Amino acid sequence: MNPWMHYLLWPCIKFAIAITIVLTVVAGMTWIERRLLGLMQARLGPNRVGPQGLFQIIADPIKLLMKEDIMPSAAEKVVYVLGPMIPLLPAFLVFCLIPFGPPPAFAVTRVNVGLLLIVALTSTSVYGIILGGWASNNKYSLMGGLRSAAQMVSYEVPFGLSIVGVLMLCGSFDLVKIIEYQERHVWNLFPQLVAAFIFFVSMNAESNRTPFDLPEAESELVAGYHTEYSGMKFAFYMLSEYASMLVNSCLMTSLFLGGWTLSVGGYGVTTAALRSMGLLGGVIGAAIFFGKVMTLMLVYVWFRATFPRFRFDQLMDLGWKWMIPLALANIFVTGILILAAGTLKIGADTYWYGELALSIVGAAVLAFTLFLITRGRPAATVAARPTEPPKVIHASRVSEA
Amino acid sequence: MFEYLVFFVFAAMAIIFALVVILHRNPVVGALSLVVSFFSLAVMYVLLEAPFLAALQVIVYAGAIMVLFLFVIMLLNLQHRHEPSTRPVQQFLGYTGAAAFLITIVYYIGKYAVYTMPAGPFHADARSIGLALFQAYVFPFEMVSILLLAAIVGALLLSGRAIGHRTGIGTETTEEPAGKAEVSR
Amino acid sequence: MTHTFVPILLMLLFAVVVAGTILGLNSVIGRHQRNPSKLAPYESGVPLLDQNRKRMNVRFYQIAMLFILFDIEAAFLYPWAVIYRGASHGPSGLFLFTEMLLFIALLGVGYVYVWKKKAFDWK
Repeated sequence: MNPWMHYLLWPCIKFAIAITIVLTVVAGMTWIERRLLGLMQARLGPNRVGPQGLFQIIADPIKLLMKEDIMPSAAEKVVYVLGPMIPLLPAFLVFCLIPFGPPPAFAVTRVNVGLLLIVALTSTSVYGIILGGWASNNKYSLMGGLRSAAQMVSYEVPFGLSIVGVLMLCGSFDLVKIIEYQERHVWNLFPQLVAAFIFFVSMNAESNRTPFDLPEAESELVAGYHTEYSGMKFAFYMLSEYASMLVNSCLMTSLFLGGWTLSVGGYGVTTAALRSMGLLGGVIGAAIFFGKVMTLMLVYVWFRATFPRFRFDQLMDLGWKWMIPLALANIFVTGILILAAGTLKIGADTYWYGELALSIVGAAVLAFTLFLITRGRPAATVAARPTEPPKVIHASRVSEA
Repeated sequence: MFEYLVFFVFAAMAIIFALVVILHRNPVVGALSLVVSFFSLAVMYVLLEAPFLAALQVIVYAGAIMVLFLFVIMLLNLQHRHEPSTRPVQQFLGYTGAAAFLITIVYYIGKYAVYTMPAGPFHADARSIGLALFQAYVFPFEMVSILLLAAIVGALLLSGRAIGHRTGIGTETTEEPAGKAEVSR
Repeated sequence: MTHTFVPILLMLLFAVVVAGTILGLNSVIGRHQRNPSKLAPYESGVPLLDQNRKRMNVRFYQIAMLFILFDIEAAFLYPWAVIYRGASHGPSGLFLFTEMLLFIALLGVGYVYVWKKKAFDWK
């Protein structure tokens, strides 16, 4: 085959397909989120434009495109324009590296340090927020930008450390190998329960989602780092938030939920089984992958409807005092149990004992930690606020997004 | 052919943005240019078939250290501060010193011939780096943890004084954090 | 090997071009009704009383500094984690485990120090 065809044309086509799907999911997600929030909060949500308000997906970008592009006179011009573009780039670059289905057909490209590269790229999205907040020349923007950056930076440490446990089990940075490892054994969710929990919490914090949406705490900071942004620049910030949600869901699916496979111990819907069915198998694999991803996306929305926002000190407490020691403990326990399973050699099924022990220890540690976190802290992570009697929905709130 | 094109584009970018770092007045523009320069270096690691190093370059330098730089710039509110212009003697000394340094560097690079690639395949994937780091270079590796420990203590000592008697908006002098930023390197 | 990165490069170009085009389109299509108060810093309708760029709490700097240090720790953990299992011709598992335990224990001293110095407390 012509090398140019191989290296350029196919990736481009695959990329075009991937980006179409991604943009559709991201756009659709805004509608799903608003409708779902409406459902959870006993109100309607957008329902006027098209059937069930579905055309809101198209109406919103058009509206934002027609809006006035305001550049505050005191802003740093170049940085102000760059700000919204910067977080968008890594969020979209990452989609090249995620295998949506059995390789090589269903991933744009496959790199042997894929996971590390994804971590690296997502870690740069903090610039957009820092720079946007700084360039706006507004004290709310600056404060929101700094807070947001401090938050993202704080949760990046547990985020990075939670991946280490998975790397220890699978021994590779290649997402395809990590997924294939899980289909031969079991979803990493079970032996790496603690890591999965930390990863999930950190990815919520990294995407600035409720209950970690302090940078946008409208009661204190107007709108946080994008106070001064309007039109498409504002839309870019929103878009990159949703894109980063999608990236994180894809990562979680690949690392902990078995990617495009549905199998335990090599039985079930495996890569080999999907490959034997040709293109159809690939499509089925991709459908499984997106099913898992969409489930996680819905959990994001569910979280938003459920949890109250953290205070900044609680946020920092949770990140630095709970997540980091927990992540290190997880690495320690995983290390000991891998070592034990390797040296004891209890028959051929040694591995399963290790896996089982990891799951049990993980569940115990997680339960104990959650107990400690929630104990005597009424406003902390999981503790529920006393429920108020349902109020009559005010007419103005029905139209609210 | 394609690789050469990519190399020259990114080599040019690395140099141009490195120049912007030292020539531009606005510290934020300088910091951003440094980020771009780091990215170009990461691309060069990829071209050298060391993608692991490229990823680490982005994680550590672009993702962490430059964030600290931007934090410091934002904390200090430096952007419209102009230095007093230097005296001619200082300028002359500066330029001759820089020129001498450049000549020395070019001379020694030429002398010790870094123009040729090492013979044989170049192994820089995560596995071989890990095996080397955790077997042959155990001692330097453990020393790193002591270095990091010293950096942690130093960072807190330098910035910690302020916290005891003040909580709100900073009244630090500008020299201090600039000195502290060097600790991170 | 390097060619697997070509799509990423293309993607970067594509994203920059598309993002730039959309932003340009917005500034062309969008309304143009400027007035000085619209371009002034947003202050919830109140006249600006003090300067916009204030100096911020030095704690933000501390957090960024600690982040770097722990991020470098994580960067050392990655190659270790990859070779930890099945290092058949390399160092033994117990050796790897011990040396990383030592590494993290030393950093743990720093972590405890930071905790005791109340750098994590934002109250």
